Amino acid sequence: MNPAVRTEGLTKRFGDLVALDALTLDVEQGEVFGFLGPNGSGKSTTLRLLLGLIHPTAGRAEVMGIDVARAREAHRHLAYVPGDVSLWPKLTGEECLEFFARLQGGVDEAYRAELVERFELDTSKRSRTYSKGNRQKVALVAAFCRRPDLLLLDEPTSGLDPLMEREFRRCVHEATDRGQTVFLSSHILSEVEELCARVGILRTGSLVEVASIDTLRQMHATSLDIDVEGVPPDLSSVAGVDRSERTPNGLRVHLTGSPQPVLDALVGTKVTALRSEEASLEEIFLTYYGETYDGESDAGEADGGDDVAP
Amino acid sequence: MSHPEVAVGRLAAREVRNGVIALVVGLVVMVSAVVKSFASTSLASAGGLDALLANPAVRALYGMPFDVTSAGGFAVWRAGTFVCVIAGLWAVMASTRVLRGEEEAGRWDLLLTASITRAGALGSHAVVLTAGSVLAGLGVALAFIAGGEPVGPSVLYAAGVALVTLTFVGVGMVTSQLWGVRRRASGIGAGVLGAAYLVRMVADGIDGGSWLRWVSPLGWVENLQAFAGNNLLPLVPLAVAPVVLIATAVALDRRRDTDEGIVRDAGSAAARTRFLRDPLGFAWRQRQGGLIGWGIGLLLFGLIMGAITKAFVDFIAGDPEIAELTAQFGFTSLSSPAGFVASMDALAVVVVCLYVVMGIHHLGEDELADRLDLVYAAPVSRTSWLTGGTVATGATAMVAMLAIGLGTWLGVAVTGVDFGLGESMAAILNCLPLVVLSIGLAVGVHGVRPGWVVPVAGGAVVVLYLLSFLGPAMDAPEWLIELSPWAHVSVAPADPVNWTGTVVMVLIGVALGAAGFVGYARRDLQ
Repeated sequence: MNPAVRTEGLTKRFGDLVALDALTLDVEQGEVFGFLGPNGSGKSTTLRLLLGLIHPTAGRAEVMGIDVARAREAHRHLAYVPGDVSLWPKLTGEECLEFFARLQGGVDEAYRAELVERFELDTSKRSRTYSKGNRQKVALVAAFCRRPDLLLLDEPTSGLDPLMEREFRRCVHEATDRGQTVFLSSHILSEVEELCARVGILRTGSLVEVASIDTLRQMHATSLDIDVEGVPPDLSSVAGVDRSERTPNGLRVHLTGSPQPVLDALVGTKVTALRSEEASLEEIFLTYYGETYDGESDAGEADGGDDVAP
Repeated sequence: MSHPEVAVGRLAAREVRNGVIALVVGLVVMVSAVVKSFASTSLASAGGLDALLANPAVRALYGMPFDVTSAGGFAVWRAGTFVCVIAGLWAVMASTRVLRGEEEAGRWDLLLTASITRAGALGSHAVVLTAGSVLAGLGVALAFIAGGEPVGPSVLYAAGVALVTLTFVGVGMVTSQLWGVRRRASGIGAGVLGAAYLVRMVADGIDGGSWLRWVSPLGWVENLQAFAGNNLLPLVPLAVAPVVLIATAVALDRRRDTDEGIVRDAGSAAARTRFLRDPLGFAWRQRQGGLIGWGIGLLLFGLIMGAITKAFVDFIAGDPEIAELTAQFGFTSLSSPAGFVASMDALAVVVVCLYVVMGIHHLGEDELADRLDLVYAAPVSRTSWLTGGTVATGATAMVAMLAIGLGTWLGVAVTGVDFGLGESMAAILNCLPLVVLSIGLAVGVHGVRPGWVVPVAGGAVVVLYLLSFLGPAMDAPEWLIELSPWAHVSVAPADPVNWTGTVVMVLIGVALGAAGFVGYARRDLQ
């Protein structure tokens, strides 16, 4: 089975700016893949390359086994929701949906009506009167109602209220139940945590991590509070321990990987309490996003590929 | 910068800068060339000139010749209408773009969060647009004075140009308040300019119609009689109109919400999906609304041209010497209605050429507003989308040309001249290669960079037309005039169709268009 998305050395430069640097990535069919990274890191550029809206400077990409350069064929299998949906101001929501349906084909009208209902979209309104969230709903309905093999979603819930965001998550669950693949670029970590099994993290155009969320957690520091009777042992040189500090009742150690070496080192010590605290997903992501990630923060803020028009 | 009005003004100045530079350079070149050519032209001394100038049709076309015995007076008459129309067109387009266009794009939402009121922002823009109008006038004054013309009349005429430009800035400011969509605001503003042109045409062309000149801003400039009577009175309406219009814009501005116009259509509507089935249907539907306005305008234009045909033809037929003289004006074979209509159609088709440029420009507008992202996420190829837009634009051009043909025929028919509908249609369709060329050029530019379609393709239409129409009066070398496609359109059906020219132009148009298709399919969406 072909991967739903495959990129090989996919690169995009706008003049001197490298918006995307040799991205190599496979997303399997049926997967919900989270695509993360700070603003300007190249997420939207990647999606626009996958859609053939812009052409790669180097490398190639496939969706459902079809080269993205063959847009007509490739697009039969996919739907796209941009982060900021622009519609024709004078067309009504219904007219927009109908037009997209005719262009795309394969629309289940009953399902579309159901989605319009679920997203509480008034389709008789001209899109000029729509808020950002309502324009977003039009694109979401247009995308989900075709039940495409692959959904390319670029911050699809920006502008949606929490109720509608919940509806969106339901739609994604339904899609994955049917075996559809979802490629989700998002800044909403709770959304990513709930929906995605695997994530890729981009930074200034480069992929810095691809892992399942569970692996990410394991890879990152867990803090262990160890209350002891008497003088606590020195654990700072134990394998896996990044840091160790005194607490009123004992020690707090920050460790990566298995806690076994620490437990071994505690043999002979009277432990009165043991509490472990996992790093939150937010903390994990922030290490990649820049605050504690090795000093490329300047480049990260440059007008990178995300919102850049060439 | 502690004064947000100044900061907003600077922003506006950046937005209009390139357009002002192009406008001023264009006006200076045009005026200087016509002034300079006066010395070498034989028109001033030609015997039948006075008689020719008394002809209503010539007056309708160029305007009232008050005194053409001096270079200044000659230039005012010969180039004056073009100067005012081009400056007016800039005024309408620039004002609606920086006001309604920016607001429609949502950029004013952010702008107005600064400590500035919308009236303040409007004022800043008005100051900048006024400066642009003044620069246009200054350029005209310098061109006359540098050409050795007396300072007084030069300044008077230049003041007229500046004020008429500012009047149309005012028109654009008002339409920007009235309508919430830039396309509508600029379209109706341009319509007002067109109406002013038609009124002036009738005023100058009809005996006893001279009072009508007081109705049209273009007529006010004529009534200044620069380098002739040097009448100061028209400065009154010329000065009052911008003040009234700008004050109206400010008053209207107070009565509306940001992002909305005064005229609001209903927020909801029943779905009409008949045309929304494929790229072509969609493109046609997008262009339908505007077509009605353009069609009616061009029909009226045709009617007026048709109505003045008889006067012109009778006049020429009576005097072969004058027929020869008219040839020097760029007209040949004018002794028949068909010849005159064909010559007029070459002028009317300029509007159609600009119209098709706008039709292709709409594709770029959609692209730059990111509206095509969802279209291209569907299995739609670039080629099919561009084909839809191009074919729909071509279809609207056909309708526009038929409106001219029909209007002209009706106009001629009511004056009792024997002139068939077929002849009228043949005359306008003879200009089809110019339209094909314009579409081809616009598509070609679109294939490289969508934002350049209006300045490059629209600019080329204006420059190339002026080259053929004003070139002879500007003493332009023959080869330069030959560069203009208008030089290769015969006055069919009075003369045989220039098939070589027609085929060459169509081929060039098709080649440019094909290059545009290839470029569009390959380039990044912007």
